[in-house]
Amino acid sequence: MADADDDLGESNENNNLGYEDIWIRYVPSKPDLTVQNQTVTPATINAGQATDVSCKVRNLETALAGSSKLGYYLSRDAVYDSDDLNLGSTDMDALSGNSTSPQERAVLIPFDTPEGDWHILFRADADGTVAESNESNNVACHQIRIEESLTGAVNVTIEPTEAIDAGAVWRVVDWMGPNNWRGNGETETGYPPETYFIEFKDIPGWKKPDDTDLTILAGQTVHKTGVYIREDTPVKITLQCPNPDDDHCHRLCNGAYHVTGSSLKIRWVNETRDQVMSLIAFHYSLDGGEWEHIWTDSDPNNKTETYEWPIAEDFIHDDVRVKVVANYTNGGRSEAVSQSIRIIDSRPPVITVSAPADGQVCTVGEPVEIRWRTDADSSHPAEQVDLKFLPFGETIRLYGAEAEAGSYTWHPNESHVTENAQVRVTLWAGNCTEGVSESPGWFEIRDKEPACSPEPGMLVVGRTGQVGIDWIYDGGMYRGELGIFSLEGMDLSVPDMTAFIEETVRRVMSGAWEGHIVLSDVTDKARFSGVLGGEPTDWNEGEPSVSEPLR
Amino acid sequence: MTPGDRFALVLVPNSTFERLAANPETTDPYKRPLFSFTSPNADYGMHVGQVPAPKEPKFRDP
Repeated sequence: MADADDDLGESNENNNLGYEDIWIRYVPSKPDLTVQNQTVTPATINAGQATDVSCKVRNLETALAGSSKLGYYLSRDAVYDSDDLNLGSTDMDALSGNSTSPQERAVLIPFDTPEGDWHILFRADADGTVAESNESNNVACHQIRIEESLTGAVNVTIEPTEAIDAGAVWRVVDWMGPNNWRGNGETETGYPPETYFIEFKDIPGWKKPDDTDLTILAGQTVHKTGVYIREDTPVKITLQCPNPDDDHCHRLCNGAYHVTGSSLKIRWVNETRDQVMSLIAFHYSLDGGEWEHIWTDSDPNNKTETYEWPIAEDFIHDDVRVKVVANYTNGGRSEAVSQSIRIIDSRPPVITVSAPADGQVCTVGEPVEIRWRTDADSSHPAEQVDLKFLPFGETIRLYGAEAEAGSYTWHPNESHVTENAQVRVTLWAGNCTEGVSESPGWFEIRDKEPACSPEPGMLVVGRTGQVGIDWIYDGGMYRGELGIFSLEGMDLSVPDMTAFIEETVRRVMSGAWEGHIVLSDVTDKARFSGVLGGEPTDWNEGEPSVSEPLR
Repeated sequence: MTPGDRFALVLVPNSTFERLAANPETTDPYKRPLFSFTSPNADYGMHVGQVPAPKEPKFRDP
């Protein structure tokens, strides 16, 4: 355009303009997403915990960025690569040019992350849907410190395979309620240490395992096995023996089993006769403790219902329980537990007799000490002791404290005089066993010397205090009387014969301890009769003289 | 009598203790008592004879 500022006065002002056509092309610009102001709070956490992450996603260009994802990754370094662990992502709306979108959320650090220094990577356009002018500035990072996990995990195995196929699953129930169902062999992590509840799912045709408490420990994985039992084929086993209330199971000793050194009968009944057992196992428990395995029969005969459990000599316990577990060919399982029983030491006592000694000489009427020892346990001391005197056969029976004493004083009498005496000690202990032993060798019992040596014609009253007189033969024609009288207190020097006769007659006629008339020929008759030489006839007549013993 | 007491026998030859009691001084040989023992200070004869102390038969183990 000539004279564009119209400065000149021209003759023709209408021909100043000339033109040429041109094409102007419109070229749009690309957006460019980047991450700024990233934070992690807290930046030091334990594996298994969540932490808050925040940042601003900024579009550096003027061009609009379409909707995209913001990704979070756990990385050993500040550079993103495909091995980094994806912690999650956030969907973002479209972002206009030169604008900013603040983002925040929580991410969970996996339970099994090793402790150490890590990075959380913030990655804009994580799935690469936005074409950017610069694709190399999408990632920002924040260093964090990961400590050892404070949570634990639970791993559950489900049996049998048929139950898994039928839909058997499990889940953890915490204070918030039940979590998601999990399958056989799966592991649930991130549980702070405390007690949780494991629940198994009901599935038709199966009896599910009992729901159970489970205590989770930090940094550990607790394993649990749940066994489903097919319901359509019920099985049941019961236990008859041992039973402390039934002495048909075993001979009891005051309610206790004395079976040490022998065997204990375990008797069970397969209540579901039509179901076949595939395995039967026996266990015992002491004082309510863990079950200890006794024996397993992997080929049980349904008809064999007794097992003799060998009991060692030193197996002595107050609280023993027996459990029998039966597996059935249909997959069923049943178990039964006995009442608590007491097993006592059933070894018989060993008796040692130490007195009388071999060759010992004892005297009639003098005390003879009999001594014995036993090794019987103090918990079941001697209850009865029999002292049998050989060869006479007399037995003295001792109970309680006398039986426990271990000694007894015996007084032999005249009937025991022998050179070959022995004492046999039989001891019954509180464990319903007995022991027997005899005194060593032989001891002798001699007649005692008389208490005093009477003059000829004097006699001594024996131990019984009784005197018996037998009239054998009548001497002849005279008809007299015979008396006996005690000499105690009489002056045998006889200073006055008449007084001595008076005292004698008084004593004889007293009929008491001082004396008796023994026989009177007028009325009594001797045992034997005959004619004496020089006598004309047999004078024996009257009632036979049978004297009662005189005291 | 009690165990250990000494005792003796006395015989009235041809009478009774009752009659002897009525006359203890008698010298009648039918009534005068005879004792089984002899007093060391007396000269009365011992007519019944010595009575030995009986002994229990000893036992022998067969």
